[in-house]
Amino acid sequence: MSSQGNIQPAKLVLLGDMGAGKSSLVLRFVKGQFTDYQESTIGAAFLTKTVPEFKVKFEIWDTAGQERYHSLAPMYYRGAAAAIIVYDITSTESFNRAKNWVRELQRQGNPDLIVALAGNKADLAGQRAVEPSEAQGYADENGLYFIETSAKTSVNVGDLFNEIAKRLPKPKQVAKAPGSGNVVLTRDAPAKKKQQCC
Amino acid sequence: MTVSEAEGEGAVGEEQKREPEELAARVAEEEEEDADVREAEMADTGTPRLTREEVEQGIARMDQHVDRESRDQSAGTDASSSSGGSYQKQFVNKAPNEDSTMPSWRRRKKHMFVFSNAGKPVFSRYGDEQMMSTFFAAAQAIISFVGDKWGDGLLSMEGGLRGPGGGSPWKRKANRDSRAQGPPGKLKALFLEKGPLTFVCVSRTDEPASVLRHQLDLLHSQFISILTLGIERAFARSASFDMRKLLNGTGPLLRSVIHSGTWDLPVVLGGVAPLPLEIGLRKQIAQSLQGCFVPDVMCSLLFTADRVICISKRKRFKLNHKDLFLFTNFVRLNDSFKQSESFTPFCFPSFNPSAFLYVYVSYVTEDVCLAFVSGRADSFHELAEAKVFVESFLRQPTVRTGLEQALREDTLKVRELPMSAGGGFVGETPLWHYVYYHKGLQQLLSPRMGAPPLATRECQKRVLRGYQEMSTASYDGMTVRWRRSGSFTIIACISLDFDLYATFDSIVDAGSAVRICNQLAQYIHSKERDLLMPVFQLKSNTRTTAAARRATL
Repeated sequence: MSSQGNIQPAKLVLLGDMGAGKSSLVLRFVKGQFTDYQESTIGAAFLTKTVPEFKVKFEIWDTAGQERYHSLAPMYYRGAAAAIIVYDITSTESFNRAKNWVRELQRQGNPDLIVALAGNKADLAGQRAVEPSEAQGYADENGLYFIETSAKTSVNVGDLFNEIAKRLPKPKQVAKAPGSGNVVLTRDAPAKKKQQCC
Repeated sequence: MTVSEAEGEGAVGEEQKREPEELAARVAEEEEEDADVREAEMADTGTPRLTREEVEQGIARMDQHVDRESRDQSAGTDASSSSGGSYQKQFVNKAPNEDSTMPSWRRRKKHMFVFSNAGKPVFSRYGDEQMMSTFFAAAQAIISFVGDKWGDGLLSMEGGLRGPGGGSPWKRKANRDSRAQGPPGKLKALFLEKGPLTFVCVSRTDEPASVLRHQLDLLHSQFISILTLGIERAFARSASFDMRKLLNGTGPLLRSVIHSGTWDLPVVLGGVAPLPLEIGLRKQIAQSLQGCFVPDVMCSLLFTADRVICISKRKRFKLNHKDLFLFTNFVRLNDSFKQSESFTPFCFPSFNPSAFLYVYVSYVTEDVCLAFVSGRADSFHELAEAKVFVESFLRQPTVRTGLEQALREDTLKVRELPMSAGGGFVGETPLWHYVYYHKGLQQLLSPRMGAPPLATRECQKRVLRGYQEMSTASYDGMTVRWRRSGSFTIIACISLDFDLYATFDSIVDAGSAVRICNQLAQYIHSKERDLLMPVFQLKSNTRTTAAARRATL
């Protein structure tokens, strides 16, 4: 445990159609960067960011949006504390894909999973194809937190992650774990390596 | 610039041997082609979906860029000196709106297409594959008509193209792996059937059919590497399966592989290009890769954009140079790897074409990339820990300076060679460029191209094609091969352990060229220890392979 106190790790996964802006959102949040020509993510990218106000360390899995990586998604959202489903407000197709992701997560039946719906590219309001009211309605029906963001102008990006941090369950059991003066037991002995004959 | 002038003269000298009419037609065609290529490469700077304005802006930008960057007369700009732009951008579809009816499309020198047995378009190097159904149907008809006669899945044809717009009465001719050296500009078509997919190459580049076949094979391997042989099951379920949606976004990757068939020496000659590094340091780096033992890790790699620094792998993991190229090219092409740690499935086609392995990729410095190949999908966090270990090792001052120096200085440069082995500045030495290919390790040592006298793309391409021809064509076991073409001379010295290819200026005499080759081979042989890369075994106790031991002796 670090000296900063009980910072809680929280696994967060981003899902959504290719080109919706998942990587851009994450890079804006983690590094404060934005590039117009963001190359496609391959497989999944892993980034971390600590939010001291909420004592949370986000362990972010930014997944690739291409269809061929779809089958890998469970690997990343399994055990996640939160998921951000991203769509592009200028594309109804990406909104429909977002709905599919919501359905897929609901099928997993994890009631504790915090799901946020992010309508990205809010700076392109002129080319809007998905109305905020429509997305808000859908989010309310499904118990999602909805917000429109722009990775380019940074609008609402911080709010999105902060809101998730706020909603994360408060760490109760962990607070008492590193009690001072107690004997700290190590975890299990390192697993024995499998012996192979050839 | 003198080099390009010499180039032009050389080309004219060659042309004069041909008949005047043919020559005139050829020159006109070539000019057109060059303009075509230039235009296409300029349009290249735009985003994938190009509008007219964007193309024009792109051309304007590129014009400025060209003025600033180089004053040579070459057809294109040097793609390898990517100043700022991403590597991937070079391989977006150069002509997204063309289709098979357009003259500009027909003028392109090398086409490659892939379509399914049901005739569904899968990929085309140029143009919009969806617009080419009729063309694919015609290609399919050719295959079904003559395909049976050759049987083994490869069919090649040759013919002349009568003008850019006219039909192409191909003369059928069986021509398997022979030296098909028709006059330049002759159209060559190869069809390669691989399971549910057909790979087609239509080329006017004079490369022999065996080379084109090699390139089609590589493209096929790239497909496998993206999707594994699992695609065959998808086609078995439904013949009309649309593969394009699974390939979404891989266009630049596929195009870069086609490009490499001509431009990357490791592909052209079939080997790995190691980074020259002092053996002690390389061993230390290998130990750091071996030191972080994670179960199910099959291979750890450290590499830069064009050279491999260290490989440490399990014995049972067979990593051939083709797979290694596909992997390093894949990483190099995707700048997104530079932004964060990544974890991605990747299929090594020669190792196991039907399964994905999981690869952890992270850049440890700006240029040096670390990768772990694992058999387990949930090994990310262990691998990330291992990376921290390797990273901290590489940050040690002695290691860091050693590695940085090796990255910065190209010790293979002609200038760095001893005088007797052809070393010296441009103009002082007749030696322009060379490749030393170690057969046992399948590794090649070669200075980077791009500096004068091989400054122009056209010149580089001709040298590379020269090497390729020397390595593939049969010379009846001759150990020294000699080829004079235009402005340069290429010599290949073939021996049991190594091949040496060397490019000299056109006025060098055979005696001194051979003398330099011998000295050069001796010099490199004496320094092999610090130039070639032994392959280290990934085990708790460090043992090197036989090949590695041989190289370190």
